Amino acid sequence: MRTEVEMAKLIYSAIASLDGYIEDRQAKFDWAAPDDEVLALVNDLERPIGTYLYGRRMYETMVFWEAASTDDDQPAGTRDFAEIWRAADKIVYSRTLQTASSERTRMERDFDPARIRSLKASSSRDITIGGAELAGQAIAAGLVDECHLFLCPVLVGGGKRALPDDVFVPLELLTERRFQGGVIHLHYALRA
Amino acid sequence: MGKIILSENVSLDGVVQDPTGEEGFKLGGWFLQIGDKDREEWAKIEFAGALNAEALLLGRRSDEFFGERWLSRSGEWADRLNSMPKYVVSSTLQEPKWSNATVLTGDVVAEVSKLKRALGGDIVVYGSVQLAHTLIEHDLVDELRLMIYPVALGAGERLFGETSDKKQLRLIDAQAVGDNLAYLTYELVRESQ
Repeated sequence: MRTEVEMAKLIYSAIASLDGYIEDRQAKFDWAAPDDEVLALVNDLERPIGTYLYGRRMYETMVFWEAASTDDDQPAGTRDFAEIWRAADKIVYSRTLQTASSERTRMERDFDPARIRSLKASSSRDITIGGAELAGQAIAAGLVDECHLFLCPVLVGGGKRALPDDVFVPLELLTERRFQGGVIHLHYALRA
Repeated sequence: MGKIILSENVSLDGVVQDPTGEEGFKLGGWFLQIGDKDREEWAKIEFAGALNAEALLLGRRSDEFFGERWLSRSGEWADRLNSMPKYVVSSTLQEPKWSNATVLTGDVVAEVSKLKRALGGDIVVYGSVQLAHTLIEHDLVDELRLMIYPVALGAGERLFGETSDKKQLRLIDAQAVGDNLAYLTYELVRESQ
């Protein structure tokens, strides 16, 4: 149980190549698709989350899960992911997207650090943020408390970076874990 | 066949520039910002790597950087590093800074390929970012050892540059080192494998 004085944590998670890209120069990320073992941890990390903060592009990618099948013929991991996704609240930051195409989703025009701080103070559950641009803004504003980086065993040579340019972030390693398929999970606290 | 191993200290976002701050990079010095326990554990791993290596392969700047650093030191680790055979890749260098070093002046890819055929054990590369880029691009690297520091810098010269194609890796080992370092070891997978 969270006490009144404890703020919710804002958490950034990303699956990236070892050279730090979440998508390659062709804007693809098929090589980042989690296997069952990684997906199981992703689900465990997402399950307690109350709200997802999204930039437009990330939302447009993730909204797939609103309508994704949760029939028994789907693998258990993806079924869980879809159910967990649908149960969370979403806030989408966009000046161009007017309406949401998913339940439990509201739109905001501007990313306002003060409002994020209020959200953290008033939330009883932790909050996640993605994709990289929005998370980068939040990191620069000192709002992000923790980061989960899943590093895939591949160098893609270019593309969109997981971590923001020109932001210096001291870290504290909380956990490190390797997966059978060669993915590494690094969990850091962002130090003030 | 010798095995080329890149053994690098990097920030979480892959920056290798100015680890000790002496180059004047505004974000430099990150290598020094770890606690004593982490440093001790780091040293054990680096020393073991040096003991297992047959030779070092370096770029010109790294020969100078490490030579200056280690020649004045004593102790087992310094003795090991200073006495090891070293190969410095440079088209301009006349006299290497570090001890027991040979300059390789020809085409980098040809020289390093020749070196791999000539030696049988681990050929370890420290620093040498420009050389590392060339070796990765030409599929001459066999193993990658990354010591990841608890910081994202957001700018600076990176270990991994633009490559012409994706490079597949196989994770060999991963461990936390001390409290805050993450040490990852990968094998580079070649097409034929």
